[in-house]
Amino acid sequence: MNFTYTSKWLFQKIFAILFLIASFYTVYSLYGLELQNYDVITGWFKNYLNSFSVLVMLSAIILHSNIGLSSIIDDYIHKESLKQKIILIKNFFFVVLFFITIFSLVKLNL
Amino acid sequence: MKKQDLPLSPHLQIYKPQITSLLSISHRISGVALNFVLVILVLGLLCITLGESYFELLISLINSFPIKIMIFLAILGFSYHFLNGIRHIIWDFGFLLGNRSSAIFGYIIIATSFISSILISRLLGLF
Repeated sequence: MNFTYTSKWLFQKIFAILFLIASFYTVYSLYGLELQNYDVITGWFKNYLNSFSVLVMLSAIILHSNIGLSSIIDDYIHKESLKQKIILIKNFFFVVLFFITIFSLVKLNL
Repeated sequence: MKKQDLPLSPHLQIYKPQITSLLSISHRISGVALNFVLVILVLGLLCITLGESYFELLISLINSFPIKIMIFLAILGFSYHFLNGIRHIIWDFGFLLGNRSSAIFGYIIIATSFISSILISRLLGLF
C-alpha cells in the first residue's frame, strides 16, 4: 500500500495519541500497586483490559516509530538499494517486536 | 541533476546551528533513541512472561543506580520528544512560526522537558 506524505503525517499523529491514551491508562491502573511483586504484576495482566491497553500502547508506538524512522531513512540515506535494505531490516525488527508483544500477552493470559 | 545527486534535507553541514534547527534534529535523535527504550520495554514484558526468576532479574536491574540513570534519560527523551512533537503540530497548523516566537517556544520546551522529567522521576520513586 502506498501512503502519501499527508496520510503518513496523519497516521503518525493518530498513533501518538493512541499511545498516549493507552499509556496514561496503563500508568493510572498500575499506580499504587506493589510493582516489585511478581503475583501482583501477573495478576494485573490477567485483566483483559490491562493487557489490551499494553497491546495498544506497544502497537501504536511501533507504528509511530516505523513511520518516523522511514522518514529519517528517506532524508539521510542517499543510495536507493541501501535505503531499501535498511527499510527491510527496520520492518523486520518491528515485526519481531510486535510478535514478542503478542506472544507475551497471550502467554500471560493463559 | 540526477535524482541520486540531489542534496538531501536537512542540510546539517551547511546551516549555522540555531535553536530551531538544533531542537529539530534533537527531536529526531530522541525519536531514534526511544526505539531502544521500546526494545527494553518489550524485553521487560518478555521477562515477566518467562517466569519469576527473570522477573527478579529485571527488578534487580531496575533498582541498580546506572539503570536508574538510564530510566531518567529515557523519561527525559520521552518528555522532550512528546513536548517538541506538540510544538511541531502547532507549527503544522501555522501558529508561532515567527523567528522570535519559535526560539522562545524552543527554550520553553527544553525547560519544561527537564522539569517534567524530574517530576515524573520523583512520582515513580526513581530517586
